[in-house]
Amino acid sequence: MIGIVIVSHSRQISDGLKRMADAMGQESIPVVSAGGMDEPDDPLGTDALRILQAIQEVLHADGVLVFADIGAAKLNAETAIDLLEDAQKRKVRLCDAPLVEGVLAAAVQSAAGGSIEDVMREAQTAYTPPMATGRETERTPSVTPSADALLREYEIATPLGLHARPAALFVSAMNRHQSAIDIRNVTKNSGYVNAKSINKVMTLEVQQRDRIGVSASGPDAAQVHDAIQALIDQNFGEAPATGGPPSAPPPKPATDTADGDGSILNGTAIRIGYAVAPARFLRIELPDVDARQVDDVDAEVVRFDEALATARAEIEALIQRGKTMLDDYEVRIFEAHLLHLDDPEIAEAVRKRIRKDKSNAEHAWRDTVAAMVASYRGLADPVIQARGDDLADVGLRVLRILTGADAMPTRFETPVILCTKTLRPSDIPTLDFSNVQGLCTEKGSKTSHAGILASGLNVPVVFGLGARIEEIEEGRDILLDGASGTVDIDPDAKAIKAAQEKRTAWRDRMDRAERIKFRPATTRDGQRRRVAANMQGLQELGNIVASGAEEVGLFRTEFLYMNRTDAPGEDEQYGIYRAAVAGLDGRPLVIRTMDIGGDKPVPYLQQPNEANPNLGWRGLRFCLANTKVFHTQLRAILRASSHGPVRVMFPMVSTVDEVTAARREVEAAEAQLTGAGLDFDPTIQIGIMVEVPAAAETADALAAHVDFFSIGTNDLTQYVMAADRGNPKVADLIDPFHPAVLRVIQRTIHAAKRAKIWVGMCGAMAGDPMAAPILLGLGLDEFSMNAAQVPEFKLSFSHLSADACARFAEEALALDTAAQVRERTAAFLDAQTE
Amino acid sequence: MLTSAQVAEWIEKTAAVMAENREYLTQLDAAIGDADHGNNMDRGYKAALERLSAEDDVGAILKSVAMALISKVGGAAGPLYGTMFLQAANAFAGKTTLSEEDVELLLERSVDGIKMRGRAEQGEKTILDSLIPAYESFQAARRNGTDLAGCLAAATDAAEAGMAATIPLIAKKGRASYLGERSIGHQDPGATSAYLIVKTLRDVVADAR
Repeated sequence: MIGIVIVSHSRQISDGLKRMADAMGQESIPVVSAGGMDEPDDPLGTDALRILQAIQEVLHADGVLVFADIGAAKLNAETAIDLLEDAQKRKVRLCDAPLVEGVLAAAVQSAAGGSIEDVMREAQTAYTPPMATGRETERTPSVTPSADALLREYEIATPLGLHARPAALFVSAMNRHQSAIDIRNVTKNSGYVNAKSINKVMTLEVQQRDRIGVSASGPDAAQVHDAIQALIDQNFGEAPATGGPPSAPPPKPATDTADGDGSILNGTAIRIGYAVAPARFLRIELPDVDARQVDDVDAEVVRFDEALATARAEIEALIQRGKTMLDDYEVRIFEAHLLHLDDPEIAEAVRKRIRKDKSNAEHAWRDTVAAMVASYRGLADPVIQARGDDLADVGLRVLRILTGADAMPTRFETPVILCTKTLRPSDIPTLDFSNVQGLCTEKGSKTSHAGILASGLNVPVVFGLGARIEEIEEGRDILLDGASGTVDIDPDAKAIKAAQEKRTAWRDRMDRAERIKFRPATTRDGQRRRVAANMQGLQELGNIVASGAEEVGLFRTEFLYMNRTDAPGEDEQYGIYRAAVAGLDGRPLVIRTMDIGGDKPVPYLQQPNEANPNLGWRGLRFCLANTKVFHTQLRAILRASSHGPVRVMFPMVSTVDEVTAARREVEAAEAQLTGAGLDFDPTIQIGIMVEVPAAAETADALAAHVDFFSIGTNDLTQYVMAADRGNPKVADLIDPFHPAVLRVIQRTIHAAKRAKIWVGMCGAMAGDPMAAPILLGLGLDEFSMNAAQVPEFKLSFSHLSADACARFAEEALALDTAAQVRERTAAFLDAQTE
Repeated sequence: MLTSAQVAEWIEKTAAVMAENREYLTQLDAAIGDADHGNNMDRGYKAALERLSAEDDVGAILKSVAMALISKVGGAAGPLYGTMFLQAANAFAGKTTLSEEDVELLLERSVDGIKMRGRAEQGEKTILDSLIPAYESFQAARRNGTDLAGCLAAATDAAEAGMAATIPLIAKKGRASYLGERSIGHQDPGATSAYLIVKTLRDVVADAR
């Protein structure tokens, strides 16, 4: 494995590039950013001592490649290498390659394996000018496989074909074999190229549904094909579409790709609802700008340079905001924007035009950028096409600064369903939603910042439809179902009629839910329960407050620890918790200490590889063994408690001993704060998650030591049913409506009642209106769910009678199967709402 | 003879000279480079000043200057002058006085350091266009039996002439080389700062007399 050091005059560039390299190398290789200088007034430049330190940080690797952006940076990188001891020097090379392409290619090749020479060669051949791709004649000469080679063909099903991550996985797998391996794109009738080279594989432009031919000759040729088959079987680790509304029965084993069959495209349900309307593709276009003669070209160039500087400052602020919002995706997008903005080719071409044609800056900029965008979009490669969108976005930003006119939100004159590749958080304010009936995207996830914001929109939203989104015809009526997460691109009259009826009922229900959402959740017979929201980042505060949630029942803090290289410090965490307290404006906040481990590993905390991470060293188990990290978090939570009602909750508790140990750590953290003269609430409520069967069985004993319980149904169900949440083959068993799970929930609630502590629920079941009768009947005090579910939950709750639910719960728990429980519940709900 | 105290004084005075000439160097650089040479040299020498210790021997002083420059200058001058001082420092570890012969070695090592890092030769519109004549004139004067002050005076005159001679040259190295023929007619900022460095050493020795 080869380490990488990135040297750039701009720290933003080297930091951004490091993140991209981390993603390409799957965080498995050491990459250090050594850009810029520690001079607040003059941050552009390079510092050989900083570079030296960066090299030393990765010297533990088998070798180190240093990449530098321009001349002076190269000189300083050489100087840094010269300062190493001779033995160290031999491991380090300055790699003369284009910075961005070189680093990314090196990251992939290093993750795949190979000597320092191999990695260097990949980096140096990484760059193909955009105009050259797709041209057959520019291809590297093909190789001819030997006669004894083992040949086989495969079809590639991943949405992006063999690009980015899938290509990296493929090349990594090939590099683990001794055989000489060559690959060709059968569909495009290309020649063979070396399958161990990421750049060569990329030149094949393997797209979804292309067939590849692989030839392997050598001692492990058969294993090569086994490895490829394994990758194909796992669809290169690309997650199949998941989702569906929380109230849907457990999803069927997801063996399909994201595409679906016939005219139906499957995606991820982001926001429930139904829409039928003409499709409209959203595309960033640069508006025409009038040409104008300028007299003082020098002043015009200065005006242009100032606009670039303003744009840079704006983008840097957006990156900063993305970082505080822990939105990695947002940060990466804007870092890519900075790279375009800093592209000297574009800026120089614009300056030239201003001088030569005496053109106004906005006209010169618009024309130059639009031509570049068009050439990107004209290429076959979807990854390069996407670059065109980024560039267009940068183009718009600079135009807005130059012309001083804020772009009006994009308005649609007639009802439309918007279709787009990705939706970014910054897109939402640029759209006028008055005629938007629905929204769907090719890519995007529920947990992204955009996913969270979109879940608060008043229109149905489906993300992640995959490449088939391109089959949607502009202007044609399509049918979007935000409950099942599907889009019908060619609906028949019957389907349209059914969807319109559903839409009317849904709109009606939504209107009623909106009207009652700020009222307390009260049953028909006057029983009140608390409705709370789950949260994992500050960006959700707006949605939570607007949803009518009365408190936050679960603030997941593990996300503060992910996607970074070291643990967040006390002050950073305190700042976040305090901001949450302030944003909630008096609403109580339950902060759960980090649940690291299981399916949420954090590289810098050095957890061992575990055969069974879900049954392993996670949650409170991990915290009690890492008291330094634990104390830091506890101090931050306690300090936030001096500003408003904060409660602390421990995840993954199994025994009384763990709880008493955790309480001791809280006392230790309190003593440290007292020693430092810092404020906290000494009466802070301390609670635990009940998600391990052992905790539920001994809930009586545990209740004596805590102020509240919160039942985590997601893990509880997998542990009670002994069925892995991530394994589609046993997905049918993961059903919280199974009487076994319901009885464990009942025991937990009863133990809490006897001990006179409150008990809530923060798993997916809590927000499911279908589960409400049973949970209300069993006596649950607090229901914590996604903010978007709150209004409808309150509405359905208001139809229930607590007395009837109590009787119904007894009855339901005596049933034999989950299916029976669901069936009876549906009948009960129908009777209640009549 | 040049003492370690005088070497320290040379660095201090150069820092003052760079501060005075900040605008001038930046203007020269604005014509054919990226308009930061003055700021960069000023910042680098200020950092060198902070690390300067009167008790250090010549090798240690020059090394601390080298480290300050490579870390704080930011542009190409950092690694170039940094390597220059580092090469010189290696020759004088533990020494507290330098003979005339040693000062000649200091200049020779300086030229070697810049050549090594910049892969440049004389006539390419760089630091070397004043530094190489300075070294050669010093060497010639010393062979004729001239004293240290005289040798340095000759070196300074040669450096000044070399600096002026960069005006008609086409830049072959660094960012100025992007301009090609348009670099003709401008004095090279690197050759200018190198001249200032040599001249300041002359002044320190002349003042001591």
